[in-house]
Amino acid sequence: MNALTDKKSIRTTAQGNPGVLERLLAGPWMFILPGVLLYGAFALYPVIYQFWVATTNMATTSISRAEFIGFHNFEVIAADPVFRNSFIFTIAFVLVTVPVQFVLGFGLALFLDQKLPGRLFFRLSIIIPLAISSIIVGLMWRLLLHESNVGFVNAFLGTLGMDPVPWFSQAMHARFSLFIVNIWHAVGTTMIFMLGGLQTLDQEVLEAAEVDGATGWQRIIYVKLPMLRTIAGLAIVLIFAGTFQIFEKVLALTNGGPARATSTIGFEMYTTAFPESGTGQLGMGAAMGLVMFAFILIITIFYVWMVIFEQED
Amino acid sequence: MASNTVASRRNITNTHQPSNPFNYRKLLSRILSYLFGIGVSLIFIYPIIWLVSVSLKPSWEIYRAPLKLIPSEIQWNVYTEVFNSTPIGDYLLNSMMYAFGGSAITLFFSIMTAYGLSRYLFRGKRTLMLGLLGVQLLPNLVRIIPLFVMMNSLDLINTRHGLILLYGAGGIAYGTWFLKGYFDTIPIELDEAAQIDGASRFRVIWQILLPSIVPGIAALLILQFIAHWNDFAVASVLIRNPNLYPLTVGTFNLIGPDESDFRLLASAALINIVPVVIVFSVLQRFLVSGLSAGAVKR
Repeated sequence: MNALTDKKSIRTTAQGNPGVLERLLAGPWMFILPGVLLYGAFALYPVIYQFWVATTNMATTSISRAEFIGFHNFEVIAADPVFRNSFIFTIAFVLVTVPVQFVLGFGLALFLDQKLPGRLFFRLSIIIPLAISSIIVGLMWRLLLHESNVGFVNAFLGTLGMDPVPWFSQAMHARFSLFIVNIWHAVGTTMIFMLGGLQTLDQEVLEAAEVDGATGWQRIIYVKLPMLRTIAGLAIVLIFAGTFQIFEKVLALTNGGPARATSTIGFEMYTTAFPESGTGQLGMGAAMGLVMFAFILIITIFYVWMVIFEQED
Repeated sequence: MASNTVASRRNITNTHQPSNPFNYRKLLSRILSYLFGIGVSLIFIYPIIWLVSVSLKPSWEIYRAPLKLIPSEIQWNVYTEVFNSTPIGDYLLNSMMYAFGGSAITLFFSIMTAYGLSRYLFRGKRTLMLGLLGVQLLPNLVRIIPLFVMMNSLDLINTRHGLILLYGAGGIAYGTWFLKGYFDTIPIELDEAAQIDGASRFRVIWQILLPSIVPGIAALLILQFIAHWNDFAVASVLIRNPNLYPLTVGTFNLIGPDESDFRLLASAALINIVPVVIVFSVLQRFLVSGLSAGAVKR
């Protein structure tokens, strides 16, 4: 009896009851943990840390001496007409860009979905701008839209007998320039997603609709689009988040001008926290970043919810 | 009843085959399609071709004949000038180092994490997968201020390894989702057979799984490389020392808000654009399927 208990206790210490560390190293966590920790430290933690920075008076010259000032930064930016204008412009820009880019991207995808020899070349040319950095896209279009006779677009309009367009010096024109350049750069994303979706559609369903006498438009709106709602939703979320963060193209194309007419939330955040000269207001910039974050978070939550919903279907 | 079905089936095939072999309407729509396709392609490609033309033109022709595509005299010297009189060559090397280093770190950690998620069942796995996706979707731009403060307190501002570490870490969620999709296509029986024969899990990954997903690894490396090559926001915040500038930040600072030398602007932009556009074009088929794979597979 005594010997038996002894034996049992020996076995427990030798084999059972392994330490926490050993258990971690034996299972999936040995593979998963390093990557997840690294990602958490440099991708998740900064987002949480942003909330702290936004409630301090932290500046680039006084990082270690930052003091908690509550919601003061938010009060300041809410009262700041420059930030309010950039906020309104960003919202308006997103509201115009998202539907236009989706419709154009979907239209191009429908065009490329037909059996047309050479369509790979057409597809390639539409997505080539995606490979270019936003900041360089801004720089190259500054030359293309140059208001003098150097600019390609104005020179081209001149041959059609039109007057040169003040692409950058007038507020509405500058906003329109930013809109055009952004569409040129990013419409390929929507096209790729929608084309990918179109090519997975069940051909029999489409043929059935054709046999039933549905016209081309009816097939697109009543058959293809509803079947593609998940991917269409994803494309719209991506356009929304991408456009809401627009900043590099503003910096390189218009530098926010004329008179801050093309300043976006992202641009305000960057130039407040990291100005060309002087002290960067990190706390204030972080507060602006959180305003942007709130809007994108709503869309992100909606998207993740949609993914879960679709998976459970 | 049976003959009825056959008849209706024949009916369907009939509507599909045009009775008239020479169909003018079809020809016309084909021609319109090509005109449309060529027009669209020009809108996207022509600005880049025109930029090449500007960089090679003699200066006077840039002002006198902005629309002329073929320069009257091709002057390559702008490229030797840019490399000799500006540090753009150093920026190019810096960019390669950052983009390659970051992609390699992402690849290493993503392989490990994706293997763990693909080959093990455990509690919280689904939550972890969705968590990675959710954090990945959070706006990148929002991170730059806290990252600046963090890297400042870690003394990693103005260091090459600091930027490489950030790039590498930031890609792990995307890389994990991407590679897990590839791992999932390999039957687990293959791993089990090798493990019964005495292979360790690391040997299974290295000798059995990785060789079968080379296309996925290459696609991930190239997509990450392009993303880092094109980054401006993070690099411009973390790298303040001009000797360490990557190409995007260097080019932007070189040109500044007032560009009077249009050939410099065009050539510097092209030095940024050409490498990625070539890689992207050559591998497009392969990369595009990678870009939308995660979304379409479901």
